Amino acid sequence: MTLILDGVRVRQRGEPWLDGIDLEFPSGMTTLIGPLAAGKTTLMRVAAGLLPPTAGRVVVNGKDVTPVSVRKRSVAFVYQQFINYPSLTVYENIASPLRLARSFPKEDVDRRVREVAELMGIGDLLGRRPAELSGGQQQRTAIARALARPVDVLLLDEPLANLDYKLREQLRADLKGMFAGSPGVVLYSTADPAEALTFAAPTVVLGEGRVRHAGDAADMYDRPPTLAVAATLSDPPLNLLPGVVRDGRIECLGVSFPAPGVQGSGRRVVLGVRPHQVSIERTGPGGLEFPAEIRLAEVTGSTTFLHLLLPDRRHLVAQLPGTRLFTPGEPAVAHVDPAHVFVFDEAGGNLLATSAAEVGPHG
Amino acid sequence: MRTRTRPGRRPAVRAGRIALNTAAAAVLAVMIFPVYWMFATAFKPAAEIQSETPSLWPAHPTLEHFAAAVGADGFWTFWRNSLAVTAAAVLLALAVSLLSAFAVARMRWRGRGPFIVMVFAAQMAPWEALLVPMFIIARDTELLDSLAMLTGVYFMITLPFTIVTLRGFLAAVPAEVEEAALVDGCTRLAAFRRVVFPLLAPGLMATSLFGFITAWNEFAFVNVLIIKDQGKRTLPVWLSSFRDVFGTDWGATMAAATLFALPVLVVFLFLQRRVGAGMIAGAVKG
Amino acid sequence: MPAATRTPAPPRRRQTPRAPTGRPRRRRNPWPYLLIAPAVAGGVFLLLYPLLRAATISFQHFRMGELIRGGAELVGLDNYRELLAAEEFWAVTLRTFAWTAVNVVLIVGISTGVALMLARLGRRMRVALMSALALVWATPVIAATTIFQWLFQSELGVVNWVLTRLGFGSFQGYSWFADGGAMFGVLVTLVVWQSVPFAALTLYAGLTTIPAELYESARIDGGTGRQIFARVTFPILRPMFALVTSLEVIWVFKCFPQIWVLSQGGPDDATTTLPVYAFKVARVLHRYDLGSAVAMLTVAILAVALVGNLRRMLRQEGNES
Repeated sequence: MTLILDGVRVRQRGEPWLDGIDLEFPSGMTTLIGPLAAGKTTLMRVAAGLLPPTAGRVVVNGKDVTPVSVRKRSVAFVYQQFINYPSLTVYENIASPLRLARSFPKEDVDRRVREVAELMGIGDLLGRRPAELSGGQQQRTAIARALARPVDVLLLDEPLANLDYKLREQLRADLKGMFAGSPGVVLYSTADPAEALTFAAPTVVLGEGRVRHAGDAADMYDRPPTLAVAATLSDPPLNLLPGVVRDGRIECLGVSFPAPGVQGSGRRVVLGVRPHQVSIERTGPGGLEFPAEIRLAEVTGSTTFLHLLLPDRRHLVAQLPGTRLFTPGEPAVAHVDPAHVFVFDEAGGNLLATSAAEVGPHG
Repeated sequence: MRTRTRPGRRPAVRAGRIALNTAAAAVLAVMIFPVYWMFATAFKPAAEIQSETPSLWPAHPTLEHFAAAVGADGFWTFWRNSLAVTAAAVLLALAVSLLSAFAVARMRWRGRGPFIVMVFAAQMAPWEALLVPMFIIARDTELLDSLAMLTGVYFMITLPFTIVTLRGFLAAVPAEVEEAALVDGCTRLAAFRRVVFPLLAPGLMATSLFGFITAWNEFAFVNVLIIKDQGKRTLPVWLSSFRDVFGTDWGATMAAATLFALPVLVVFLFLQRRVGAGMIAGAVKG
Repeated sequence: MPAATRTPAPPRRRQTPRAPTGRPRRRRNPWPYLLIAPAVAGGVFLLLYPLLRAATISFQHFRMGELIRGGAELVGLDNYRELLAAEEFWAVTLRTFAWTAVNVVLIVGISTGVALMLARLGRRMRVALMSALALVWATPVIAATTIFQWLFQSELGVVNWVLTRLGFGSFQGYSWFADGGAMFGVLVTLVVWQSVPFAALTLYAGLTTIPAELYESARIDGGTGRQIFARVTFPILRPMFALVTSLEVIWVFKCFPQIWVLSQGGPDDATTTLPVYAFKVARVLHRYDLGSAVAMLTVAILAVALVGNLRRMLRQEGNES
């Protein structure tokens, strides 16, 4: 089973929403990740047949289905909003696609409904109507409805985005592994790097209606090929610092470190540092030290986000383990191990070096 | 708005509360009295109605006036006419407006804006000014004394309101719900019938109630369009000419008024809770 | 960039994108037009055409003869000239304005009071009062009109009895329907009674949208009841007041069945308003041309309120979409 998007372009009201999408999805799950307005929903709606592309083709199993209406296709769709049939019970909601599918044996409907409901943990809610359910239960119903009938293409458009934190964690754990062996193509879109990394499925990074990169989520996390990919896959957001290449070294805000792989003296670069790689204690020899002033400490319990103001008025966020108390206004020194600095070309945003690769192992 | 009650009210506050409730009771009594008096008179025997000192309620309730009203010449014919015209006009308006409301709420097309403006404008159509031309048109098309013409007019009077209200209800149903049904394999029509239609129930009720009241009550057009054939008259005309029927028999007249008002009151009070909001929303919108 | 992949490579970017197959622009979808066709047809035949017909007749010589034989001639503005020259028309117009003003002021005033009262009542009393209002609202116009004929009967009518009992002996056997002023009063009572429920319930619905916190903070600021109404309630409800007032103006101005059934415009034309006048001229005098001219002028006068209303609707429409 494959799904191919071939030269797909979508323009709406004169704006390009998707451009030059050429992707081939194998059976099993693929994660689509991208920030807001990256084109995730548009891509999914095109793949489902809900939105005709301005140009390009949608090919399922070698067959061009672009002109085929959505109801004749073998697809299922889960929306970010909890969309169920308000007038039907949970049971009837899940049974609906089964009853409509001519190929599905009528006598199996009841068994299948109960099976998926059990799988989604809503087995005891079958008699209720969607309005009587919590958000998490509503979305479980919507997912159960999508899972009930075996389909060629299953699309889940940020299904967890509208849930609150706890429910999201729970449902994410339930979904992990559910689609791995799926015979059909499963597309799962999200804006949350944690989801993409948890699912560990092949991942496509979207941005501004284009494919930024495709590959393995963990690889991309470790070696983000571009600044955009790094930013998309970093939560909390990546710290960005300006730098200049000089004689095999990179200078940044008064400090410098060796970067043997980077060519071109005088070249401007952007350094990306994940907040958890910033510390305020000396970590080891060769660390970069930035004098700073403490502005704000956000304590979440397990971690503390320390907002630091660098001499050039630039902010740097450090993610420190545990609950730590700081006094705003006091001086501090931010320590960064050059081994954990990504160096991007300022002009093109391409990765020039993970210092890690050159310096040694990383975690 | 929440009522703000507080422990240990001061006497002044309590006095204010009593005054307020008394005033409210007075308003209630004044408002309700005419309707109550209609019921009371309808059940009073003639002697009580004729009495110099009216009694507040019927001491010896009787159904004789209802018998007189129902037995009056043509009552059942008029009743049937009213029901037929009202039902036909309401159903027609619902069917036609569902189509339009769907087009307006769910589709993008050139001319949609002007169409909405026209519907809003039609909602305020000066129907009273159209009595003469309607009469002439009906005469020219040989539709005088025909219930079909009357149905058509009532249909058109209720149509704009029905379109506006149903469109509001339709727009409140997320398009994704309909899409989900398409994804499940429904046709567009089936998606509408299975998923959207049940959600329109309150809107359909509100609009049919409005249409029902309008058509059931309508007096001017039936006076103008039904001229010769008395068998085509409807209840409002019959009731307004009760003097010809009952003379000064007020018991029978009030019984007739009761029989005329009852269907509307029953339907209205029955549906009021579910429809009230819709009626007000619709009214607010136009 | 080394492509070290742990999972089998896909999803992969297809390296050789084929030329995008630009599909021809879709034809305009005929469905919306088919869907609105019945409504448009209804509007054209049953609203637009009669309206144009009324306008035409008002410029024609159209009386009994033309009604039977046909062949009405255009006479330009003759009908309007005749109308505007007649003292009666001006008297009727003036009366209609007075009729509208008296009714609307009473309706809006009383409804505001009732709505504010509803907002302050306890639950049980409020539901009782709202149900009573709904009952009155639903009472059919002709039924209500008949009831009022009975209430105001000279001999057995309960109104005279009550007034006599209250010490107004002169009302014993008083004939309300014989005197112009009294008739006018009865009609105003009837129309106000019928209109208050809608206006009061609408205003109350508006009041419920004002959060209690707003009143609380106004009270904390030290506002008196009247100040709170003037500074908090009224400004928020202003659109609602505008709506109710304009709807009532239109409704009262056009009001016909009540007047026709109760008084037929009498006694001595004391209750002849423009719609009644138009009807009488057309149907009783068979001056269809003149009646249409009156109707057209009525529409023109009402246009101010109608256009205002339409603009409000469209503004609301604009806010929503």
